[in-house]
Amino acid sequence: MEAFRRSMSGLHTWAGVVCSALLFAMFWMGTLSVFDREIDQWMKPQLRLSPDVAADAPASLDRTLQPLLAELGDRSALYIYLPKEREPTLRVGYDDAETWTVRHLDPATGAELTGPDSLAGTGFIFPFHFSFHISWVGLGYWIAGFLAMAMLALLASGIIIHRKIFAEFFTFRPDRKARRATLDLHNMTSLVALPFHVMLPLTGLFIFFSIYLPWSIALPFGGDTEAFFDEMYGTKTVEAAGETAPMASLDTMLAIAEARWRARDPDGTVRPDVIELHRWGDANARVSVQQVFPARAIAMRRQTITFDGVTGAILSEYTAPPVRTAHAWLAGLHFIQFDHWVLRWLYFFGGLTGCAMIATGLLFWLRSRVSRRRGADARFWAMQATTVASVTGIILATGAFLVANRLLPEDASFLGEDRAALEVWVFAMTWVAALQHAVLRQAAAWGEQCWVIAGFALAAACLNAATTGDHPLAAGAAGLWSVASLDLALLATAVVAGLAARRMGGSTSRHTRSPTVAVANTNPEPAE
Amino acid sequence: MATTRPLLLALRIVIVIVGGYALMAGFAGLGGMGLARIGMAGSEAVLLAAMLSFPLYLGVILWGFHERSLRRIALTIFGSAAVSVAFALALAPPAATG
Repeated sequence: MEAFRRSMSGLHTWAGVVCSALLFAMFWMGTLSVFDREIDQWMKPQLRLSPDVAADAPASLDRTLQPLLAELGDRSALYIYLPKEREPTLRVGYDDAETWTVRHLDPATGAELTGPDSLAGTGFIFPFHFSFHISWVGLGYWIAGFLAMAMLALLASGIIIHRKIFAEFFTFRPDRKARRATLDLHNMTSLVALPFHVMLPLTGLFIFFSIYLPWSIALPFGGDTEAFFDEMYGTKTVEAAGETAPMASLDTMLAIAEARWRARDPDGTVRPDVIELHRWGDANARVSVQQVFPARAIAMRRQTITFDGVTGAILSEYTAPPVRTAHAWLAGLHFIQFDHWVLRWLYFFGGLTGCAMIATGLLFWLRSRVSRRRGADARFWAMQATTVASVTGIILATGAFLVANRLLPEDASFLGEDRAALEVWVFAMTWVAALQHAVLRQAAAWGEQCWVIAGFALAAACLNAATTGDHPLAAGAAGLWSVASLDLALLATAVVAGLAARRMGGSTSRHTRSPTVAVANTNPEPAE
Repeated sequence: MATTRPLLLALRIVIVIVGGYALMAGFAGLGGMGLARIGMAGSEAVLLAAMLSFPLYLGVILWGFHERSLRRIALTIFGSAAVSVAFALALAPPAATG
């Protein structure tokens, strides 16, 4: 067992040093993605509809969608997302020359909600989390998958090397030397949410299984991956007939679907929420009415009814078979699309705990390198700068992203980049600047970047009030709970970051300030 | 760690990560084909096998960084990968045309 602990200790250290910076980025963006739709509403004020108002409006889909459908025509796939509490708009998504395009309509009037363009939560933060926005040959997905496996290896090896797991659950000695306290915090944040930390990378891998195992899944289908997906999701790709035909009523199809599902599930929480239109306007048109995001269940996308677009007759019905249901349930644990505010906030704080786990792991490694009489060499300075940039750096870059969103004019354009892209440039350049700052200032950068985070968070909240008038009191009065909560969260972040900055400014670790001081102050520490 | 020389470590990393991935794909393929052959629907079979292959990969990683002998991990990992891929291909229907 001792030899196993030693080898796992080596694996844990090596994998941690190599992967932690990117893992923190994944965890940070993933944590924010819990509230990606709320961030959308904050960053795109045109989407700020009160969920109470949207719920009251009985929307005739035929009427509200007619102008947009006339414009978009017979694409192979158009996705209509019906309004729900976290996203009170009617959303239409489609591929426009390989680019995923999203448009929002007011569900009551059908008017398109236009305004300053922004990738916001669902367009920037959420995809960053699983692909780092690297789309070249799908490399981003593979990096995410590699990191997910690394995370599982880190968790497994971390559990194996612990001698006193139960004691460590409750051990936090902040009064002891910084290195011991850091390790205590690392152990505690790992253990207190361990099932959560294990579940997320594993279910993340399950979600992308078709990307990582393309050969294996196509084997029983003679190499035809399309056939695999058609069987798994109960869909069939549709070819255009080439002749136009009048389309049947979407409202009728929705009502039929709802009645059939309710008959099978009298508790009545099964409602259609996504409609796929295939070749709308063509004689071969198909309409798939799906229940993808159940309100009170975890498993996603289990019911689909496909209608003929011209006659409105039911062509096929699909209910997910057992393994697919289990997979959908496990994926649903990761996607958290169900309606449950308590759980959603728990996921958020669990994610923050994961971020703390990764950050304290890196910090502990940094402190160990110095105290083991190796002193601080160039590799140490590089690693310390990388750590600061990976932790406080990406957080303050996110703050800059929010501030830029409030400051950039609607028609902003620079060197050919549109407004949404410019916001991303601000994020990227701020992150680079944070790295440069960390290289120059080393340990002092921690406190200084915390001040910047506090500043950006406060500025973002104030700018929201100044530019949209939806400060927390006004937003609350209008029923815009997501906007009010985000502003309050930003203010809380400013306070926490400010307190952290003050604490760090007063006691910059002697171990990490400069080489000579570090060596002079090194005490022999018991081996961990 | 079982070795101190950087080159051997790099080799171990490649064997474990690349070979382990090949083994995972082979296991998912063989498992999926096997389950499909005994009557499970194709999509169900590969889905189950695919999900099980991830914990398998984790096990390979842990073992691969513990076992001292590079030769043993290379033979075991690549050997198992080759065998599972071969059997999966043997069981699979011929490739669809077009």
